[in-house]
Amino acid sequence: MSRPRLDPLLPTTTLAAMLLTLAAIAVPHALRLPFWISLLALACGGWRYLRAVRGESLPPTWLRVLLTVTVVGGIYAHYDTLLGLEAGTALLVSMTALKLLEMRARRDTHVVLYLGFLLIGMQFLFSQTLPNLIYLIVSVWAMLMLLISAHRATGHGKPWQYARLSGALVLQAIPVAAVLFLLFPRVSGPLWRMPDEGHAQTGLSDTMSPGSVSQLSQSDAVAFRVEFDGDIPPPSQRYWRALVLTHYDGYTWSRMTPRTPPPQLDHVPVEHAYDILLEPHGQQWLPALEMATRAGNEIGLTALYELRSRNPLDERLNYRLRSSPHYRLQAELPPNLRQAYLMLPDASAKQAKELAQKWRADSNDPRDILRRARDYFVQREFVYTLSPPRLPRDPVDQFLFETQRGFCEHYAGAFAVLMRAAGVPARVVTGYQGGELNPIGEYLIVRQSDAHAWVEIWMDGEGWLRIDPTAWVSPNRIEQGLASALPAGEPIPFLARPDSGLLKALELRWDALNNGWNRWVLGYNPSLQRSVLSRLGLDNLFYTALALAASIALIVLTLTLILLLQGRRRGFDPLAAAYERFCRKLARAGLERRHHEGPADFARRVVAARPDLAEPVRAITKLYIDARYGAATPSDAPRKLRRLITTFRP
Amino acid sequence: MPHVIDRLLEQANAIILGKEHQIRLALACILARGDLLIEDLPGVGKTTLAHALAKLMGLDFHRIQFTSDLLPADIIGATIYENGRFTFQPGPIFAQVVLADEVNRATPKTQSALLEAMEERQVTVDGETRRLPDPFFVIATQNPDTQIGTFPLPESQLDRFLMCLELGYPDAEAERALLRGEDRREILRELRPVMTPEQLQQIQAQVPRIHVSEALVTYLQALLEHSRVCGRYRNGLSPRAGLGLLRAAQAWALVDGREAVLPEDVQAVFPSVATHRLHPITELEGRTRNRHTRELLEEVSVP
Repeated sequence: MSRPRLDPLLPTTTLAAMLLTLAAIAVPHALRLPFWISLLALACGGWRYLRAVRGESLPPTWLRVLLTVTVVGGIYAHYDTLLGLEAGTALLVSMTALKLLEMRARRDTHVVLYLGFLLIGMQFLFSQTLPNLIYLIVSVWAMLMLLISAHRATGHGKPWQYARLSGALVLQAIPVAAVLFLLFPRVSGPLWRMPDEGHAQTGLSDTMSPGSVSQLSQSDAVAFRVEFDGDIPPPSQRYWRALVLTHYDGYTWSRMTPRTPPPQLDHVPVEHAYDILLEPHGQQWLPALEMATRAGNEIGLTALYELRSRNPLDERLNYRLRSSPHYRLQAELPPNLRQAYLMLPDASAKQAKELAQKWRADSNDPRDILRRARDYFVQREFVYTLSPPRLPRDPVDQFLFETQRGFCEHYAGAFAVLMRAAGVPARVVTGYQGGELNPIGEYLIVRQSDAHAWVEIWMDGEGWLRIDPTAWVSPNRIEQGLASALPAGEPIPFLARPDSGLLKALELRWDALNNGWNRWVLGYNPSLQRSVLSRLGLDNLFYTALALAASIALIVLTLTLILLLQGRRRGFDPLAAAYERFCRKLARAGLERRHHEGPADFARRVVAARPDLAEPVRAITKLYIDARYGAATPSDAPRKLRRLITTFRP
Repeated sequence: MPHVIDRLLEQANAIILGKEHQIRLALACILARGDLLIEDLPGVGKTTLAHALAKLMGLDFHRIQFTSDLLPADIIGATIYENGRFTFQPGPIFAQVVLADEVNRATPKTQSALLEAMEERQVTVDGETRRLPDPFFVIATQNPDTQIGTFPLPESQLDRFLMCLELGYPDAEAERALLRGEDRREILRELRPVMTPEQLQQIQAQVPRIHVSEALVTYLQALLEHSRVCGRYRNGLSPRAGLGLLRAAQAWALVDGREAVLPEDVQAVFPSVATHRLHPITELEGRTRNRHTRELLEEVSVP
């Protein structure tokens, strides 16, 4: 049996465009899929194209079935499941590729194109960034173009006409999508679980040792963005507290949280109200402008007065805070806690301890001790640098008395040790300092390069006071940011530089765009929706409108269904269906009716090829022709035809 | 009645050798009351075909050789002063079968006089309307080679011909028979009619009664629609072309001795009905217009 030649389903140029578009859609998926699936998809596309160019027929059924079974098996072996987002995507991509191999009728073309649309949509389950949206719109536009040209019977037409038409369709769809986005009821939380991106931890960590913060300063990635309701505080007040480190082992400062309720915070009500949009960092700390006074229910407050989320942050988090720069935290410190904040390892920082004890001997007043410490840092030749010498023996002593070159963690660590040795309770705070104002959109961008460490000391009656020894050595770091504080030649990340010209301006613009996208589109949750709708004056109407829309949708759906079913019944012709079956039987015997071939011509061809079938074929064809095209259709014709065809065995 | 048609075909085929399909189409064209355009080189038997058909149907026959100085009056006739009074001298158009030979050599004015007469089945001279005989049938021939001093018929005029045929060279066997056989003019002269004009009119009246099923209308409409949307032609087929196509298919079915039209009938007449009405936007290399039309047929499914 010879398989029929491939009908020219699509012009080869359209086919090529279709394969290329599908490939472009699949590329972002391919980055996540096992390599062999991409290879398979490429092979299928290439194969299909070559077959079309050479006018060869498509691979036989057994081969396609074999391929399908193998691929499904392979996916199961790789993922241990066929469900879930990753395995589902792998399945969809490979099945789309395999479908290409049986794309012989217009219907198959449509199936492939719809699969392509599905693939575009699935891309959004993995990533919802703004560039992805642009990619989606362009892909949809290209796919629509293909869909239009596939619908045109011959594909002869001007490509730019299709481009214009599909462009118009996309543009028409955008406002509809926007209105649906605004009005469609939101559910809190995603409908599906986003894939874990490996819990990569970025940003500050729970410990601080020499070099840890300066390493972070090499990155100009955004840590978080802040939008203030009113005035933005001056740079010297932009201390974003994240973690409080209480324990020193001679090299590393680490967290040890007492199991006590959060301490008392008294404050003068000068407040900043602001929203923080925190990039996911895989940890639990949440930065807050010093000193946060109120937080939502989902945010925990520790005994060290840190804000913590319940779970590691794998998704962008938006939270609202109020802060007061004038505060009194933990005015009374229980003796056991006070003792804990004075602890130092015996073996380390001997010289520093000596120095501190000398200060203490002179005056017991913590204010005097603080003054002495400050004078020490200001008067000696301390240098603020990103690349300090290594301190292998004792980081505090070596730094204070030998190298005197260091980054904020050196100053904070050494100062905290000095304070503890002098009998002043002290702890290290890490977080971010500063932030860059984006004039487009009026918000602050805080980057990893703004990471900073400082110290809090406790004074009786005043509670914890923030002391930043780095500010004594390098006031510019606090006032103007990292770049102006470092000597020339230090490796400053590009975007942290204050003046990088046009590129920087573009970056700020792009960041503003992204910020808006994150905040207003991705962060469009039920409460934001309610507030937007109430601002539009649709507040009370909302649920009524919802019910109304739902009932209209239901009615439209029902009507459509009814019409569709009626259309089917009207379109259904028992004679045509029976004849269709006759043709299928002959097609299996290798005699396929060409779609443009009339029944009499077809019968002649069949009889010429298979004279043994002449009698039944003639009888069936005559009955069919008389009933379908003749003047009077006897009512029993379909039944007779069906009976003849049932017994017909080509 | 089929008996008469079969005899007519048989006789015509005996004169014009190897052109069964074209003769059948020409006959269907006459039965559908349409006019026929034959586009071909000189000497392939256009005149013989026209003459033979007229003779076999018992119709009188006039041949008008179109030249560049032919005037409308030379076709229609004129009023002349004779014996003290004006009398109308009918032109050669007053015949049941008119062969307009090399119609593209005349000026457009003369051409349109012929085509108007063809369309109206009457002529008006000096304010007096005179009916043309019935049955009336025009066979026009056109030389396809572009020559100096010709006026190819414009598209709107082409649309008035129901069919446009190409005869083409006879195949080897037919040609050998032709070369060996008698003089065609001799045979023509001896030809006896196989029917009367009245019989022809009766058969013509039967054509519209050939059954057209719903399924066939669907198919025919799909063909017309496709010619409009496929984007290969400057214009698709007009509704007039659609009606002509249907009538021609009915006539074809009648010639074939059937009482209902099949998709095959439409397909059989489609190239000759559609080709001269469709003008491809781009002339593709190595493809005749006929081939275009056949492709069009292959792109529309038979329901």
